[in-house]
Amino acid sequence: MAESEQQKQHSQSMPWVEKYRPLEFVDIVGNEETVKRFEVFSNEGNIPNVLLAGPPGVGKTTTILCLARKMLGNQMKNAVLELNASNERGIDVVRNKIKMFAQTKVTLPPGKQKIVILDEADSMTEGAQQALRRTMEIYSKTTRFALACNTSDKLIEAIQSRCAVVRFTKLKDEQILGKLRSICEKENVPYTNDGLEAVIFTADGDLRQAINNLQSTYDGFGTVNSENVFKVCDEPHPLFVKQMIDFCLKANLDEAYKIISHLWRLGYCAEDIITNIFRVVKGYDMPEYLKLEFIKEIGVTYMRINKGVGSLLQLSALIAKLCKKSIKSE
Amino acid sequence: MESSVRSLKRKLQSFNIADFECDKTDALSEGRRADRTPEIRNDLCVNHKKVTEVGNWFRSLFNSKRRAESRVLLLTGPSGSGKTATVKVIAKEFGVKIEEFVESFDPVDDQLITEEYKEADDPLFQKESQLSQFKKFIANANCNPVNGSVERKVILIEEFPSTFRNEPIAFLETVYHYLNNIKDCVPIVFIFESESNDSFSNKFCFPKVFLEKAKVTSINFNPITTNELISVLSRVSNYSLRKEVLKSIAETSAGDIRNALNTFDFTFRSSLKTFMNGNSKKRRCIQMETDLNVSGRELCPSFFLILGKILHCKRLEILEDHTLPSHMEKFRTKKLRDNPEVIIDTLTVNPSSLDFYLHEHYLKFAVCIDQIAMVSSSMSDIDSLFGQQNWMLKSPWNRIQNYVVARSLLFYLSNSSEAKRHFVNFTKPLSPEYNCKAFELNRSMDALCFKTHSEYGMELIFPSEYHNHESILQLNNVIRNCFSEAPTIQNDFSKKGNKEVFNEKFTYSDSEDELSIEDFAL
Repeated sequence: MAESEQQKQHSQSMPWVEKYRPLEFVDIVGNEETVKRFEVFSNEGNIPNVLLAGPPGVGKTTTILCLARKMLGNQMKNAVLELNASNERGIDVVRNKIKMFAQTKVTLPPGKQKIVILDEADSMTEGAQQALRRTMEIYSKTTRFALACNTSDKLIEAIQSRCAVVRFTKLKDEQILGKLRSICEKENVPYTNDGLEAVIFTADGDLRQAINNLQSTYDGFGTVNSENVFKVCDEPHPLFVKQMIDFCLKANLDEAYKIISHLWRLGYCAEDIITNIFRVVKGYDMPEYLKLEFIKEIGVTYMRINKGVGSLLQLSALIAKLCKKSIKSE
Repeated sequence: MESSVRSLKRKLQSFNIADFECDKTDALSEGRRADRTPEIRNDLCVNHKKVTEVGNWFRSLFNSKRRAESRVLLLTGPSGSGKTATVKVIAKEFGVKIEEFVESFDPVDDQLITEEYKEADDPLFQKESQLSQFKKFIANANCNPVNGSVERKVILIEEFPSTFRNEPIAFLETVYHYLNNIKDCVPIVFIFESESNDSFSNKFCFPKVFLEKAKVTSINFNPITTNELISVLSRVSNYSLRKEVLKSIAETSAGDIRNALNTFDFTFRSSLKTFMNGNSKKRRCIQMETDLNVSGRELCPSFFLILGKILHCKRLEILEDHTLPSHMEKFRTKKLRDNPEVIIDTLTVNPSSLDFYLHEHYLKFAVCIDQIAMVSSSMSDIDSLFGQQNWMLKSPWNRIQNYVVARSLLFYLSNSSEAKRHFVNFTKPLSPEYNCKAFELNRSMDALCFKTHSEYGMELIFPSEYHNHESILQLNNVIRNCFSEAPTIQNDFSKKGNKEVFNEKFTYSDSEDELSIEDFAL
């Protein structure tokens, strides 16, 4: 009894990202085709070395772990070596730890191999990558490598050549929404639809961040509505920005300026505001010609802010220029 | 363009159940890995000329009476072009044993070395330097067995000692001394993976001076041709797949046989099952299309599809919903069929490679000078802002250049698309290569200057002639040759511009030379 109580306590304190990390392939959200492929390999074994590339929070590590769990079953503890960027991964680790692991004997069903998981492989030093390439070949009979990285071009050609490169894409908003809903139901989180929308907006295709934001909003305020979400994530509310763009399209500089100075007085830094504007404009339905011009102007302003001039002047110059786009020039 | 995309689609849709002969699936899923490594010359998919060259080198060493001049073979080429496979096959043919250098890590644990031992200066507890490890290895390789018969063997160095990356010259000096000091030493085969985007090129690691002095036979392997890849793939798949299927795989792997086989493995072995279980033919076709999108190297079919969508804009037959102010009525266009941001976000290649492709090919889609002026000014605006630094931007900004370029192309070129429909071959853009070369040149110049200035460095490169300025000039020539071998630009527009850039570079490097030589003379 006491034990289960403790367990309950433990599961409550666990971050939802870990608590709801899928254990089965069916629970993985998005990239269905790719995941399906891995599922087949998890039954058959004999997977080639793979390199999973994609933005953060799309399920790369989860997919590999699911594969390892399903393929190796209860031997997983012995037959999987997981190293990520927090582990030291210089040449000596590749030489010693990985080689040592590759040489150990683990009894596995035929066709199944040990797996070395190298997470965040793009942060490995070049020397370590060079040392890895031979290891990958020499032990290919007993050990397979699964590398996960954000950008595959940070890995040397030799490694890319030795792997089947598998690409993961950003998750769609509906896919994230589905996952968030199910978590909300399981955790009894009171939520509003615009709240979840806000979570999705702030996460920008990153499921891990979406779940984190959801949890921190719930922990902080108890309910998930858009206001709370933007408070927690400390981002300007896109509704303001949308209004502002509307005013710009109507060439109403006064109203647009009111909004931008309001945001400024709320204490957001210029980079946050401009990033928010860009994200809103990106998804905003407006005439094609104006959209092109708007994005260009936003880019110019971003570059200036990025160089260190994050003043209100830059932002008001931006909206002035945006307004001017839709005014007839003499 | 249209036609190329369509043919690609046709290719993708042509996958169906008939592509597989069911009774061969066993052969597909089992033991394929084992019979992959080529055993005989005919199995190699490398150009025959190159194989013969390697064969000649072996013959001159092991099957001829005269003492061979060249005892070092240097194989360069991109990864997966069959360098190692060729050496192994040829060596087997001549009955030559291969001894491979593997750098092992020092077994002495750091924690064992206590202060006490450190002070003791005991050689037992000193870490062996990588160079001396290498020296030991080649010395060991030269120890003949007791019976005195000369063993037929070569040393294969594929995994270079890591010191080679930092101090290539010190390493090469070791090799040079080894060749000079030991008569009839065991020949060495270097296999060096040269990649255009690597931080250091083979031109710098193996300077011409070394190649001449050490009488190195240097053979450069090219990427494997698509046709050869197809024939290998079809052999691997037991001729159970259609040629078009294999062609699309071969094309994504950019001449890398190893990657092609991996991709093949990943896409087909697993899809076999789903193929068998699937119900409708249509579903299977869709599946195949996505298959190739997720795997393969950077330039998968989906990339070209998107390229086509951007350059060859498709619009609906209705006008935009929005009304523009009356003075801008002329800018009102037909509705776009796809949202460019959404398409670009599905891309997995890095932002700059999409940019390079668009920059390279947009001219072919423009019909009049006005369009070119509009598009290129719009593109250059954004390029001047983000072009040099899009790698350091965070999401969502890292794609902003793509969005703007794509939108400019869609908007300004949209009218031409009806008029001009022709086949466009999306060749690989050349500008990244030039950029790399320019970067490398600067880098190697820096390194060279450092070498000449540091006292230690003077001893390293062939001391006897080092006090002669010519050797420095010679080395400079090597670096200069980086450029003379650059591919010629086919695009007439950019021909002149690029040449001028290079001339500038040369004058810059010349002045750098003079500086270093003057300093040296002092």
